[in-house]
Amino acid sequence: MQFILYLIQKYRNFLLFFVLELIAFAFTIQYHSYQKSKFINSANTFSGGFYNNITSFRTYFSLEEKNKILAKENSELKNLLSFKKMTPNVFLDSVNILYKQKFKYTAAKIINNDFHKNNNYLTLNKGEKDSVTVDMAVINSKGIVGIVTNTSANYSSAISLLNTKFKINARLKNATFFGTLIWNGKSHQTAQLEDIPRQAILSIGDTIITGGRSAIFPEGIFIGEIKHIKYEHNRYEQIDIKLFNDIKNTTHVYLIKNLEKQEILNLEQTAHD
Amino acid sequence: MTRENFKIILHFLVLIPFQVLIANHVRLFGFINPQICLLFILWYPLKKDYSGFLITSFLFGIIIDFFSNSGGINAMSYLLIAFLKTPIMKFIFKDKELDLKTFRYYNYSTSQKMILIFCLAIIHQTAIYSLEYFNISYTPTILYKSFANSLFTTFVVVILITIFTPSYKQ
Repeated sequence: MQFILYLIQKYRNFLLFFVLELIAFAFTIQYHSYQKSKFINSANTFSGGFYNNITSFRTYFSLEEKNKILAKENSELKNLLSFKKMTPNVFLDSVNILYKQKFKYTAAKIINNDFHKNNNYLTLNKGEKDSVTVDMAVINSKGIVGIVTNTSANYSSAISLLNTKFKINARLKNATFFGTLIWNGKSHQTAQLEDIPRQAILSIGDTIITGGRSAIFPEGIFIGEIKHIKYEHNRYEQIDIKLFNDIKNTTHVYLIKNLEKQEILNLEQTAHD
Repeated sequence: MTRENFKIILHFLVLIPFQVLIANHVRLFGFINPQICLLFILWYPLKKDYSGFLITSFLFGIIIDFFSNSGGINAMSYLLIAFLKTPIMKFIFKDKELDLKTFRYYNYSTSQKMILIFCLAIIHQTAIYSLEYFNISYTPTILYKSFANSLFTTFVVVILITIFTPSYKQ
């Protein structure tokens, strides 16, 4: 016993180092499974509040530019609305004919935006107090941005589209061929589309939109256009997508909550059982 | 509170915001950004309790992780270089009996300081990129990015340590 105590005393610094490394390693393992990274994230009051204060100061200098973007977006939405009034048979996917709302939109601001790492995250200035929950979609007027992964009372963090762990269902706009959108970590302007069936006919410039096969993103949100196709061994080896959205410079976003998500998940669970 | 504890807290309060707000947004060639926070490890007084140094470095890293959404990557990397700092210093300064109580950076040449900073930077950067990619197939990318980042970090940190370290004997 005394010998063990002697050893502990002698190597106490190494033991402390080892224990602390193990704790940090456990956090790192959780980080690599983004659904489980509950502890170390920027959605807490401390880092969220810090980023919020800094962003309030920083955005003050780009108000004019942001106003222009919002005004443009507003005019596009007004055009869409007038188009809808003129053609009563055309309705937006997000609102059905009986005014039963399927998706709820919440405006938010990105207060911290990573884009240079392999696994990037965003911090948003809306949290549980604004009914933000995990798995809400993050978009802006140009396309998809990410998915909410953690929330605190006033802030939330989201996995960015520019994250190697990000995967969503996507499809061609003009054909019903579905695939999976991923990001290979190389360029913040290019994502990749995989699992596209070999019989699909693709060409450069084809538009890619969300597939709507998950309960997170509504169908038809723009992603980007095909930039490069590598077809080898009788299948699509690599399809590069030029993103419409410049996530690097995105500030204002919308969070989308699927109000029927729980119903869909319950139904799927029952079917699996 | 002793003068040294005050300095450690001051380094905490200055270096973390500087790293997360400024240094992390510097992107030379798209990926090179200086790790200014290496200064925290370099400036930590050697004569202080070693276990206290390890715990402080761990906390320092975990706070950066909170701001960077990076799990425990920074905590692991800062802890690693904190643990290795003294053996590396003894090796580079060729001073087996390095007097921790009277150690001052200005007693050593710039080339020795540069080698020390580069060694710490490359260990730190390799640990960060390895843990971030977490995939052996990315080894060339990890090595290339670690090396490039370490060179730039060394350059910036040497300048800062020269500016903020007194060049005369107190």
